[in-house]
Amino acid sequence: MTPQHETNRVDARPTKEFFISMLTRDIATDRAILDLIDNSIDAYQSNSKTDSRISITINRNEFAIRDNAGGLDLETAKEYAFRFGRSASNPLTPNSVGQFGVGMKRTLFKIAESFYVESRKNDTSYRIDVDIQEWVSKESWDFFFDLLDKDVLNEGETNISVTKLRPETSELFSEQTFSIGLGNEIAAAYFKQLSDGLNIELNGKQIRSEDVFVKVSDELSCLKKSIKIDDVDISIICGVDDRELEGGGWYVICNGRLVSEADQSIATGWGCNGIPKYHPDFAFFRGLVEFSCPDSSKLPWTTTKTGVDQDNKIYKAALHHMSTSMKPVTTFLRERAQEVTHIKEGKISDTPLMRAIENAATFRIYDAPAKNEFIRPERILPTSEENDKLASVQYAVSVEQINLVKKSLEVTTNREVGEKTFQYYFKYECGNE
Amino acid sequence: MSNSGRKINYAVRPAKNVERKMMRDLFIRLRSFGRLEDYRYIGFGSKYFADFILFHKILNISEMISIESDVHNRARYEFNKPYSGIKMEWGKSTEVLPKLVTKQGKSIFWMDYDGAFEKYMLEDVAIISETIESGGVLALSFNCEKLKIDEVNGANNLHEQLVKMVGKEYVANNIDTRGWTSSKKTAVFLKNCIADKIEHILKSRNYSLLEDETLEAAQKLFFTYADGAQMVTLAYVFSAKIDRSRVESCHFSDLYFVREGDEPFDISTPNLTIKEIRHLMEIRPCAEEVNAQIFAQKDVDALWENYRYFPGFSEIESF
Repeated sequence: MTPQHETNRVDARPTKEFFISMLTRDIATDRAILDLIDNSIDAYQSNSKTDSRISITINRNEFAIRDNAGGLDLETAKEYAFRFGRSASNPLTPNSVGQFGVGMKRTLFKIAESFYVESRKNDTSYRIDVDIQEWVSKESWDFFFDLLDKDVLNEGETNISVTKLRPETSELFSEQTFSIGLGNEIAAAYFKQLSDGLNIELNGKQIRSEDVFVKVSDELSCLKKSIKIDDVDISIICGVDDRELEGGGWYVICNGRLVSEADQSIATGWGCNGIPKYHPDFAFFRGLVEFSCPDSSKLPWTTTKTGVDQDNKIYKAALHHMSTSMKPVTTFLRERAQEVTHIKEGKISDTPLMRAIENAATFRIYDAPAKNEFIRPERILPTSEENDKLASVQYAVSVEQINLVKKSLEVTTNREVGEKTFQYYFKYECGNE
Repeated sequence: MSNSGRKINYAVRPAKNVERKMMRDLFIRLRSFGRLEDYRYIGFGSKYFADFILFHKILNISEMISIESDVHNRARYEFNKPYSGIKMEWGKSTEVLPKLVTKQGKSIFWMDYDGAFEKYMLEDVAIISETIESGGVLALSFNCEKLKIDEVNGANNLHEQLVKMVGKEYVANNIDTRGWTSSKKTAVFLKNCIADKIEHILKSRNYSLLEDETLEAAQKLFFTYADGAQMVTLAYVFSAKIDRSRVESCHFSDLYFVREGDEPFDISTPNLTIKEIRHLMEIRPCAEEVNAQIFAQKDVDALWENYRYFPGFSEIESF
């Protein structure tokens, strides 16, 4: 091998511009903001704080997130917290939701031109001020901190504040739909923590958990399965709730954080291996799969936490169990849809499946009494006699005309119009046969 | 599974009859895995239940489920059940199987479809492979006629037909168009799709199993026969790693009709009179005594190869 002379050097260092543009490209702004909340939640967990409170301010001129999660001590800030990417020597936060060591930087680079981070822990308060343009123009990758008077912050507080928003971000933040959407994202992503008492405020208003529910009774159960693979605990819960087209599907959670909401795609098993594609008949379906592991790098989430890594072995294993767990439920729901058709056609006189859903009590999916099998009532099939005796007729006519016929017949429903006009014709034209 | 029972009485299809008894002999060997009477049989009994009768009588299986999609004639199927213990499950196989496979215990599934291969059959294979236990068997039968390929636009036409049968994930876009006029080519292609599906499911399933519990499926039967339509039957025995010695002690390969590869065992049935059959059985195995003026060699071979399984039909007065 040729000796490594300085004159033979080829510059392969990354540029800061590349870093910023690559980091910020593949994540939506609202999802990026959730990364900052993830950091606060990890801090609560590692500091074992209970009176947790995260407050976010967002408008045309400012963005700030403040928490009382215990603070980020200066040593950690100096050694790890601002590094790009998690270093191997960085001690793990067990069961953390922040994992990749890119969250905070990615978010701030995406939305800010300048920002500061300040925190107080162990009676030391400090602030790191960053002007991104200025930082890019310098060779060094370092940020610098100033020590503050400790009483600027309460012990355990961290405050991240954007002093100047990027123009397009300011534009985005001025839209009312953006903050409403962000609120909804937060309500869904942290529904578990919010239900467990975490307090998140957005522009002064407390966010309510977007919880997932199932209906359970003696005759209708919710199925639960737990497995453990390579230190990852996987828990799967499946059941039915009231019909909601958007809400039906799988909810995928990694270390408490929702990464996929009401998934109705092949990624969660719909449309493969004997499970039909998602369809309005399955709008009653609720499934929750939760992955938990002290080492969050083993979780099957994507770096943007907006979905699952479908090639991950642990996810594939879970998907097998999701598939077998959801099949009895989708079968039940398919039969429920057939039951609706049969009752409409007058072929059956009772609807035990619909009744079971209506009569069951609603529970938070985490609190629902679960069984290891899906219990459900038996369906009623039309008897051959009823099938042979009855036929249904369907046709379309103009609304104007049918309203006139309704008036003439003194009835209110289309069905009655059909029945009465048929009876009328039959009586006069076929009655003697 | 559909109302094909109206078309033909399965009991008088000679190759089917032979096949059924060969399957019985394969299943008997499963006793290394456990008592056969503890197995469950799931099939399409139609109105004749010929497989149910045979497997109940010989294997002593009493938990039997017949899937039937002809929901409107339920009373007639219930009436024709040979044993009250047979449970009817109403609906299409893909809709009914998810309810059946959740139950624990060893099972033999024979999905004896009466039509040409369709995508839903792979779905059924997936549903069964997701939960079938070690010692379980999955058998499938389906029509497999040779493909009719348009000469002008052969590649597209072939691609289209295959995609329609199995879905595009199994059909390469540059598929070789040669040889498809033989039904064996289609049979091997479909067999590979089924094997792929099983393997894919087992791979995901094995991720969460302990090493000893990991499952594999081994092809044991690959029949082709024609009682009119060209048919294929496949059977796979599922076993956990810890049960591999049991699989060996089944000695499946002692059965001359077992086929583990791409070469099918063709069940051919001779066209012979009762008197001819008696004569040939008397002189068997002395080939030199066969009178070539009376007997075609292929009929003699067919009889002597499968004579133990060949049905002795005779007319009965049913009324």
